[in-house]
Amino acid sequence: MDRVEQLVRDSLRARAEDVEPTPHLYRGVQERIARRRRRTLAAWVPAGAVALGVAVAIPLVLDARPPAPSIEDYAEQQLTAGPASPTHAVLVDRDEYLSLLDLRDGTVSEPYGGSPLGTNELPMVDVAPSSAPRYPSSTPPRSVSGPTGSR
Amino acid sequence: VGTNVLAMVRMGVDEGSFAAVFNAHHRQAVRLAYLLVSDPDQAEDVVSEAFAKVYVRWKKGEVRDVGAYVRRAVANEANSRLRRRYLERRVAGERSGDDRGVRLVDEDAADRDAVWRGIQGLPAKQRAAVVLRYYEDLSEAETADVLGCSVGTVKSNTSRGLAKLQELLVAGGADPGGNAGATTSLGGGR
Repeated sequence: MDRVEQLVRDSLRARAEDVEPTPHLYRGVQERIARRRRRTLAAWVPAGAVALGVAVAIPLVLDARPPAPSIEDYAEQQLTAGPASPTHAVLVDRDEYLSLLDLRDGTVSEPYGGSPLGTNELPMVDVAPSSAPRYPSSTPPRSVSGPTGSR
Repeated sequence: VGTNVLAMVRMGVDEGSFAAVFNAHHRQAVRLAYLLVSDPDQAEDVVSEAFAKVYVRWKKGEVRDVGAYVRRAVANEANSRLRRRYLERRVAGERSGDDRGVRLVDEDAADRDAVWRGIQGLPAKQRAAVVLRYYEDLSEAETADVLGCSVGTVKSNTSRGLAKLQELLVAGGADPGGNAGATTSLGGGR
């Protein structure tokens, strides 16, 4: 194989020595460098345009949304809205009968009517601020000691 | 304005320095490219492309050994072109191969010409391995580094390439006049 290797070496060198680069080769390199610069720039221009478009569009999109509620709006709602929870009395279910729990002293009234809950009409109870509940005269309340007392 | 002027001056300095780098390496690069692609015009095209790629890295200061980097760029560029133009190269390889003005003045010249024809007919990877090993005198590890493959691949490609060349010579390709003694001596210890 040594002979072949030597022949290969000699052949390649002999061929290479015949080759001389042309004088304008460097100009070709410069043109390629310039072409690469232009190509790089051309690749960046669309990306920059997209970035600019996004930067311009974001504030416009944000401005187009409905205005966020201000603190004054919440304050107005607090003034006009009614109380969210009862302050005087609530109707409670006592063994399937309707009773009235007085929230101020914790007393629970006798159940109204003799029918289970859902079969009677609700009694009319007048509850006014700073006053005790007034019950219908036919069923006077009988106070018990707390909501767990017996009927 | 000052920044632009500085950039232009710097670019001019860069390109002036790069011209010196080019002058130091382009001849060897063109010869290597020619041995890889067989065509002088295409070889210059390969070298122009390779130097344009080298310039980008060189400007960033990423190239320590310009010669090695140019060699790698030329080999890669030539290989990619050879893959694209494999059929054209086969046709060119079947031609006489003396388009560079070589004259067969003795038996050795005839052998070298036959070897050159054989090299032109080698597959691209075998050819690149043979050229880098026997023209650039690179070691197997250096060749593997340039070609981006393992040392084992370089060994096998070189060995197969040489075997094909030897077959070609033994088969009579080295002896246009039918001199059996010349071809026989190629495989032995002439």
